Amino acid sequence: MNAKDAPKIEVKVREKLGSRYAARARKEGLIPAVIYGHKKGPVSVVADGKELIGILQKSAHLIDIVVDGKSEHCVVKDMQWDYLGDTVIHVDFERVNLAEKVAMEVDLELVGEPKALSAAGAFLDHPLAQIEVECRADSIPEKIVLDIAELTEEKAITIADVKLPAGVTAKTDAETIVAQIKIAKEEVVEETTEEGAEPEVVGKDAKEENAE
Amino acid sequence: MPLMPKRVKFRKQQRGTMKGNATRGNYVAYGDYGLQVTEGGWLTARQIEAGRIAARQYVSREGKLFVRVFPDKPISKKPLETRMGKGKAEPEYWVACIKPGQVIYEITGVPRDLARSAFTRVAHKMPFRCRFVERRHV
Repeated sequence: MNAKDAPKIEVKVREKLGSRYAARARKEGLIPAVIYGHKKGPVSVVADGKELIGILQKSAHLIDIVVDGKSEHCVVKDMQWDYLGDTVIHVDFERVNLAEKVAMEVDLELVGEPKALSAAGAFLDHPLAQIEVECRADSIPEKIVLDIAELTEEKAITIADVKLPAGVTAKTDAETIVAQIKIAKEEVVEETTEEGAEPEVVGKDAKEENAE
Repeated sequence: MPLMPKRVKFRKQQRGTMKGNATRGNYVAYGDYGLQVTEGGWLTARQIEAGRIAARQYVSREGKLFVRVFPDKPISKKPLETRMGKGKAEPEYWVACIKPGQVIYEITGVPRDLARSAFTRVAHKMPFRCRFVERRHV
C-alpha cells in the first residue's frame, strides 16, 4: 500500500488515563490506543471504534493518524483483545518514516486446491497464518498470496518458496513450513495406565515418603 | 485411564480458586477452528478424553485435532461412609482448571461445517457452555 492510499483516521488525545477511563471510552464506542516511537513521547489517544476496526479489517498496516490536526504515519504494532477474542480493546501504533524499513506480520492467503488433497485421509496443514516480513513502511503488502495448487505430499512449501513482492524480505526462518499435505494416520493409543495409578513424585513429598 | 502428569512435585493439592478470565490460550493458535469455553470450572481428564474421542470419531480420519488443555491438578476424595478427619484423602482423579475464554480443542484440515458439527457434539459432553470459534483475522 502506498503512503497516499494509507487510510486516514482522526484520533483524540486522552486526557484522563487509567483503566476506568479506558473502560468508559469503550462503552462510548471508542477504542483506546497509544502512539509511540521515533524518540518522541508516547501519546495516549482514543479512536472511533467502527472506523478503526473498518481500517484494520482491510488489512491496512500503514495508517495516517491525525492527532490535534497533525498527521503522522504509523504502523499497527500490537493489538489487545478481550478474553473471548471478540473485540479489540487497545491498539499500539508506532510512528514510522516512510523510507525506513519496518518488520511487520503480514497475513498469508492460500489459494488453489491441491490435487493431492483428494487422496484418502489427506489434509492441508498450514501452521502459519502470518509471515513476518521486512520492507519499507510505504510498501507493506496487505497480504501475501500463495498458490498451493501444485502442492504435493512429498514436498512441503517453506518460507523460502514463497514469492514475495519486490523490496520485501521474509524475517521468518526460511525453512519454516508454510503448507504441506499430510495423511491422517491411525491414532496411536498411548500406553494406558491402570485405574488409580499415580504419577512419580519428585521433590519434597518424595523425600518425606522415603524417610518414612 | 485418561490423561495425567508423568511426574509431580507433590501428590496432593489444595482446591484453590479460579478468578478472572483466560489471558492465555484464548485464541485459535494451531488449527483453523476451535471450541472455546465461556464459563469457568474444572474439566476432568475423562471429559477431555470423551470430547477428544467424540470429535475424532465424527470427523473419522480427516484433519488434525489439537487438545489445548491438560489435567494437571489432582483432586482427592474421601471414600464413602468415612468419618471426617484422619488427614487428606487420596487423589481420585485429575482436572484442568478452565477459565472463561479458554480454547480447549482445535481442528485443522476439515471443512467448516464438519468442524462445527464435530465441536457441537463435543460441546454436549463438556460441563460448561462452549462456542465455536475460528482463527482470528483482525
